[in-house]
Amino acid sequence: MIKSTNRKPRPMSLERKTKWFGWVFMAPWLLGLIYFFIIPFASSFIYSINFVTIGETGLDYEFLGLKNYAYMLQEDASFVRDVVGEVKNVLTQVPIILIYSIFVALLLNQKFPGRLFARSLFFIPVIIASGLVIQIIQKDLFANTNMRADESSIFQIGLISEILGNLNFASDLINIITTAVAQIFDLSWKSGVQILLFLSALQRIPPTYYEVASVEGANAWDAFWKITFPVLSPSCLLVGVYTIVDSFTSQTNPVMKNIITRFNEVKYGYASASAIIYFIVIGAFLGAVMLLARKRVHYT
Amino acid sequence: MLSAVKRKRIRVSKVKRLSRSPVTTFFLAFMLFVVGVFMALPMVYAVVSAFKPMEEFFVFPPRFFVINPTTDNFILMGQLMSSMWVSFERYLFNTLFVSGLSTLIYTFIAVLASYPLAKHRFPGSKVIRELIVTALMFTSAVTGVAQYIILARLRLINTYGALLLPSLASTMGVFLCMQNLTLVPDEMLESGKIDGAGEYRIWWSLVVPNIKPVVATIVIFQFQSVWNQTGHHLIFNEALKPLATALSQITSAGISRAGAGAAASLLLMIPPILVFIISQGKVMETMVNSGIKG
Repeated sequence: MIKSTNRKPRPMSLERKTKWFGWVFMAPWLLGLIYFFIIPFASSFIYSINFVTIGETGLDYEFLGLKNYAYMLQEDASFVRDVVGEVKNVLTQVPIILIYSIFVALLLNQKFPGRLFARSLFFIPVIIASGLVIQIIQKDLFANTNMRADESSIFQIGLISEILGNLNFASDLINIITTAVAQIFDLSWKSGVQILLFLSALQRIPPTYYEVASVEGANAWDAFWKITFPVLSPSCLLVGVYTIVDSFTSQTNPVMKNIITRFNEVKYGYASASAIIYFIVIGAFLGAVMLLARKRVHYT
Repeated sequence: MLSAVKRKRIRVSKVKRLSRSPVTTFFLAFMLFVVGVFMALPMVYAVVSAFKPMEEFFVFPPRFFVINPTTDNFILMGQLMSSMWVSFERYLFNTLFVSGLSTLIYTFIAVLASYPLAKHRFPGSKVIRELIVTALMFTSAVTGVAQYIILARLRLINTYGALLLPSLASTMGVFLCMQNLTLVPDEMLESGKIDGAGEYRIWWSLVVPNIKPVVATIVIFQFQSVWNQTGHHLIFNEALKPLATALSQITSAGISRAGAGAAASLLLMIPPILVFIISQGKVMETMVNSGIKG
């Protein structure tokens, strides 16, 4: 292939060589991407413009054009409302998650005895919250207690208010405390991955930077804003994108729940159409964030 | 004696990065402790519940701590597992085999793919970078149906491949790796080129060591996500099903299996935590001595 495109028979140029190596390096992963993302992606687009039913030999299609999309945007009131709600939700939550996880990552990056233990502790919610464990805990351990619908509030707030009530706290105070506790709890449950990502970014900062700073007489506060923060800023963008995608596609939010239910009801066409519109919204959101961030991010 | 103390003190001050007042140190430690307690509670709860006897699950008001710890839950779980016609070891092997293999292969191919994507400019590279972010958004919940059809065409339904292959197409690892590679200075890679290293050599000796913390993160992510896969709709042969499916079958019987469920969930948590500790430990150990010169 290379020889045929190369007019003069001479050894590969450096440029050509890197190009060739690029494709070789990417090949194994790209093959998977084509099979398990690009083809499914294309077929969900095909589903979205058809009425899809399961036939004897596979899926049967009946062409609808844009009717699925029109129905969703004009008649299905809950879809648009849920999407708008989700955008608002992400706008308020993501900054808090970012600040919280930078804070915790900074703490965990200090040298102290038992820091491996502390780090594992902060990652445990990720292990518990994904997959089977949370289902088992929710289904069985909380079956007889009043659980909030939100998956992250695994811990019973009722217990805390009861203990405080026994200690004769005023009921207003109990409310404030329990809400605060519930929020910190939700926050820490959603930040496990983010903390880990920031930690891996912090580990890349050469200690010499801080040595220079301390020689120059900077205190910890200066060092944070002049060294840590600029170095972290590309990771902020990365973690931000991760958090945005993660909260938009969390299977517990109303839009995703809706889409998944539709799939389970074998309404493949309609479900694919709503998924595609939803992902266009997420894409636009991400695009806006990246555009805003691009100017503020320092690349070394 | 005095000089020894002096020398020690000098060494300590060298290790310490910036002077911090004891008040700040105390405040930071306190914050970490408070937040840490929050994080630890569910874990403690899971452990405690696994040792709760049946009656204590139904006490009202619910109690956090166990009064009469018992290992009945584990025994019951063991009995339930042994009454299934496929042995526990078989399920465990299935899961460990698939998650281990997937983690190994994926980490390798993701780090490999991210190098040209982050550091080379060639036709098509921009399209693929955009695709990665798109793929992040388009979750498996949505592509599930189409994926099933593809797996069926490849005749992979009812094999380990049905669990393994889709997990290798994940874009998260490539995305993380690529973003972190943009921070590795080009000059460093060029110096390798000038010294006569081939692309593979540059990748292995310059790229990989410089993004070790991210590689460790990918290992954790991948292991954790494959470990939790149940694959109900992909594998029907009981002997090939992963442990997560088997354990969820135990708990599907409802409230009477609360204890066994708690024991099972505790068991399921252990391997991902071990993987986390091992890979993070490796990272910390290597990063202490190898400061990257920016």
